[in-house]
Amino acid sequence: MSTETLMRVSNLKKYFPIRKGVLRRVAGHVKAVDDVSFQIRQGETLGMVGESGCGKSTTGRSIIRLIEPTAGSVKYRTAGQEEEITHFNKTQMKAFRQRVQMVFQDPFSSLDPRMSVRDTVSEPLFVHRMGSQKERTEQVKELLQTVGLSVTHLNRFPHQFSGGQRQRIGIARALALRPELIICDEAVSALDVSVQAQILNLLQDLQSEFGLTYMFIAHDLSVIDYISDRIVVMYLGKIVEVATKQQLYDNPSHPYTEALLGAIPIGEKRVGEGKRLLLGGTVPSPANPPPGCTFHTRCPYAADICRQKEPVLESVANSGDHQAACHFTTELELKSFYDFSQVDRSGA
Amino acid sequence: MEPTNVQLRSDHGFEDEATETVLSQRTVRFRRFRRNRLAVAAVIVLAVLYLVMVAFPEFFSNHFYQTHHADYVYAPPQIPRFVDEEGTFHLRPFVYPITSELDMETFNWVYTTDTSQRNHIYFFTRGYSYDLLGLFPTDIHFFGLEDPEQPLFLFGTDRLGRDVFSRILFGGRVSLTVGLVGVFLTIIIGSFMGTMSGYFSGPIDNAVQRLAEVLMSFPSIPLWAALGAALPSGWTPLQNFFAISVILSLRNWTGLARELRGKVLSFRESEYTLAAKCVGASHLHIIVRHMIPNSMSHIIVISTLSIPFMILAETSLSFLGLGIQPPSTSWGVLLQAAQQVNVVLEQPWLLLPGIFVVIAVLSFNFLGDGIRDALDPYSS
Repeated sequence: MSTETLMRVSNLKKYFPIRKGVLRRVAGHVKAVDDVSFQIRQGETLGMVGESGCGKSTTGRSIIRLIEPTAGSVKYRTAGQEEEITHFNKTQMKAFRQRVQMVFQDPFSSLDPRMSVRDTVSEPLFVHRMGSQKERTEQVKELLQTVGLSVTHLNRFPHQFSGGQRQRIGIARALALRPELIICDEAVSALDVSVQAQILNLLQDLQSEFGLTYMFIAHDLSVIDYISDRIVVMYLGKIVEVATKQQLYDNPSHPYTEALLGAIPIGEKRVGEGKRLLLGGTVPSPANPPPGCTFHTRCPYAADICRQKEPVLESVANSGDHQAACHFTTELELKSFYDFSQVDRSGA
Repeated sequence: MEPTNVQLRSDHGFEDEATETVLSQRTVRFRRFRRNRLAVAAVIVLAVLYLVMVAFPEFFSNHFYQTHHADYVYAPPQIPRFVDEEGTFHLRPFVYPITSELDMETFNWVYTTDTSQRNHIYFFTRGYSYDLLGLFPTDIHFFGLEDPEQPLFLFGTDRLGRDVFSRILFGGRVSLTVGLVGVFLTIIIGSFMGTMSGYFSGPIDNAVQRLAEVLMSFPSIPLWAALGAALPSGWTPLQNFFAISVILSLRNWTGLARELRGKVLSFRESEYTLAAKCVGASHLHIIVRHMIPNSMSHIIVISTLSIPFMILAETSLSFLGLGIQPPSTSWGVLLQAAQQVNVVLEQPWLLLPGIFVVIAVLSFNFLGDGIRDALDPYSS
């Protein structure tokens, strides 16, 4: 894995206006993504994790302008040159779409029920006027085999497939344009656990075969753990921690990450230090985020400074790869995943 | 791209299907349509109706539909027979001639059948002159009597002694063509406006919906009356009716447009639309390939339901003097003549055009159902 940056996201913001009254005046904003900066490196799998409504999906969609970001910059490296995506015109954008593709969450609504597999998978080729109809069909056949489907499925319709098969169709569609980066937006969260593993394995195989880069959005840390090289943790529209997988699991530097690690199901009875850390309260409204650190309302370690001053995302210790946004990164002794995994093995 | 080992991990159960032949979508749809017997029957019936009534009504009618037979007012249908009064079988069908007499008490025409004489029906006989398809002058008709002056009224005659059978054929020419122009236009405008409104939302949506509301709030009958007055007087009744049905469709699209807007609003938010945007598809592509195909079953149902409406609406238009006016005719005009109670008792054959309306309407409905089911990927 190289450390070359493929995509550099800086100070990305996406505010959705809240309109009220007959005149539909803007009464406020939902700050779905609020000042987020991160990088995606060539060939890596960047996991993005956080609970529902924290802005993961909005981030994923904003960086490829499926949703227009409110502010910020997204730079994408093309032939050694970084280009600003947010300034692209229509033609440039269409060309850019060939480089970055997306796999969607819901295998049921992400495929048009009126379109056969052939039409769905060849749609990207059709849109970009690639090849004749016959050539496109040949490509679709290859793609179907690549994702583990059969050529006989060509003329079937989405409802004739299982969730896992549908997700494979979605992956074939994303691969059709031979992209460099694939954003998987909760790509496995709607699937059975056993099928999740199949799809994750498929994604990994495809990554090594085509040299893909993934940005993998999920709310399930165990899925993220399985596939990611680096992990971004989001809370209420902001990034609270960025780390390699190893660093995050061994040495979490943000109380929210600690809580997430403590919530991973381990299937056995926890004892002693392994007791789960339960967060109280609920996520505050992104329309009216609390002042200071947005996590202070639920943080067990919150102090006065947390209610007043917003922490910035800073490097932890000497590691450039590991960043956290907490005032007490250095002071706190947070439990690692292994601390949480202390289980009772005495009685069975 | 070579198939990779990932295939081994596929979701089980493909290998046994490997021998299945891959049929193109069009073939599958065509087969599915052909399996629907009612729909196939409807296609055949409609083909016959259009051939006989729209293409060659002159050829298939033995009397010109405007000819008055003063001696045969309200003549009952003459039924072709093979067996005569003595019980002798004749290979060639025949009718008995009828003679009329005025009952001086009730002032009704009373018909007596003369069974002593047989008028045999011949095929490809000579009758009144006409232009076949408006091009070739000829006087050959599909059937008729040896003497074209002799009466042969298969479906009887009306109050002016005009042959009802011929009038049904010529009426069908109007009802099955001009009447459907309105339906067609309604569907086109409604689909377009509804899809635009739902897909683009915002100002376009607002404009379309407010326009629809304004149009819907117009009272229809005064509107028709006003339009009837506004049309140039030099036009033929057929031109008039054509204009009216075009104008009608300019108002009637609103219902369909509202329904489609709701549907498209939900399709637009689905992930497959997002996926299409993600591959760089244009709005036109998304509308043509995703929005419209998904709305298609609804559009088909609405069109098949509006065809009978249009055929029958023509009747009420004619009543207001806006529809087809004599001497032209249509099924609506013919049925207007049957809108009296005594018709049911004394001239029930005047109700026959109604049967043709029912046949045509049912055929269109079955055809619509067949197409909808054939397009529906969920049907097996």
